[in-house]
Order: sequence, then C-alpha cells, then structure tokens
Amino acid sequence: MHFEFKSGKIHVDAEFTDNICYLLDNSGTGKTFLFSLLFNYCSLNGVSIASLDYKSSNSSVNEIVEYCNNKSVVIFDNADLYLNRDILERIKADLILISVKKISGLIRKNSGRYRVLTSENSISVKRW
Amino acid sequence: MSLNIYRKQEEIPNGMTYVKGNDAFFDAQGVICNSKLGMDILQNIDKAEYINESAFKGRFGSEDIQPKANLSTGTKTLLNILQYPDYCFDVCECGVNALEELFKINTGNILWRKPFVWLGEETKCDICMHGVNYNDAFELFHKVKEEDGDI
Repeated sequence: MHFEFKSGKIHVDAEFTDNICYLLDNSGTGKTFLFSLLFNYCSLNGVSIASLDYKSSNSSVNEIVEYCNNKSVVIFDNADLYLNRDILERIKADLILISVKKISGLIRKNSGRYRVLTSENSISVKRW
Repeated sequence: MSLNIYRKQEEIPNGMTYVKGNDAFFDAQGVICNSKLGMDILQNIDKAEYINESAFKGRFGSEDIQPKANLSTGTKTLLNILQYPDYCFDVCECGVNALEELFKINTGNILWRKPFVWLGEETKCDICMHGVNYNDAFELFHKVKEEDGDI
C-alpha cells in the first residue's frame, strides 16, 4: 500500500509492501508522527482505519479485535504495552503497522521491518 | 545517588510505584525540564528544543511548536525518571538511542530486563544493580552476562 500526500508543508511518501510492517527504530524518529498523518489521511479519504496506542493498554483482547477487524489499515503504536500473538492472529486487514521494540512472539508471515526517514519537509519509510 | 536498575518486576521495592505506560504518566504529570541534562535529552533523542514546561520546538522548522504530549516515548521515559526519582519506570519502550542516554542519569529507578546497549568510548555511569554500584558500564554489562549465564 502506497501513501503519497501533503500535510501542511510536509510531503509524505510511505510505501509498505508487506501485510504486517514492524517499525523498529530508535526513539524520536517519527513513527508516532507518521501514524498520526496516515490516520488523518485515511479518515479524510474513505480508507477504513483503526489506530491504537498506549491509551489502549487496558482494553481487552476482544475489544481490540472487534475494533480492528474489517478495517483496511490497522495501526498499533506503543505495541510493547498491549499487543500479543493472540491479537495479531485474529486481526485481518490489508495493512497492519506496528511500532514495537521487542518483536519476539509477534513475527508473522508476509511481514517486513521498516524505518521512518524524516527531513525538514518530508517523511518516508524504508524497508530493511 | 545512583540510578537503580531492577531486572524483574518482583525486585522493585515494596511501596515503590511501578509505571509501565510512560506516555500516559508523562502526559498527566510530567513537564519538559530546562536542566542541562533535560535539554540534552530533548536534543539528542527528538532533535527538539525547550520552550517551556509544556511546549517544545520540533524538527520541522521554526514554526514547528508542539505540545509536550508529542515528545517521543523514549524522551518522556527519561524525563519521567529524572523528575520522579521515587517511582520505577519501565524502559521497555525505549529505543537504543534513549537507552544510551540513560547512562547520563544518576538518580531514579528503572525496570530494565536486559541491561545492555552498545556504547561508544564514554562508559562512565553511576548505576546500582542488585546492591552493587557500577561506575563503568562495561562492568555492569559483564555482570549482566554473568547473571544470565552468557559467559
């Protein structure tokens, strides 16, 4: 799935070629910021999207699965706090983006690791 | 004063509050601090500059003024540690760059299950783990390997 759009002065160019994309990187590289841009873009352009972060850490597995299922794009930010294999196996979506530091137990088929690249006026991703 | 490392949640002293969700804690109770260490953390992790306790200047030009909630989880975690030395903060969401900055902190408490990070030439630290003080990070890492049976 390829996202290319402008948000204010920032040009977003993010192509994800896997069903499940792990964003594993240093702190402060722009993962959460990219997620917020993608969420706004999808919401305004008719792409069904679910987004979870640290505020979801008290939600039950069933609540998370129910919220995410049948969405085209699902974002799991701060996933170290609440995401587990059970949740991941039960969610079907075209694209699942996961920001996580420790991926053991979460690795699935059709997945890849990505980095966020930022400059003063652009944000993109790179598979590695 | 030292930074106390606990490797298991059970090691955290009774009565000490354990915080796993650093974002929520910082958003509710933390502030951006203007100490030299606080500003170094902002710059080194988020490429950000201090404006006041609730706002910072981000990396996207001079008009990029953002609320404290938009700091990275790594930065929030380190600022939590600095500002609430009686609490114990989980560092599981810190990236490698934030873990490197931990070694500049000499106060507070953290839960770090596998204390190890590649450091450059600067290996000085002031850390206490399992009742032993370490002033050199390599000595600490050696002890961690020993505890884990890796050597």
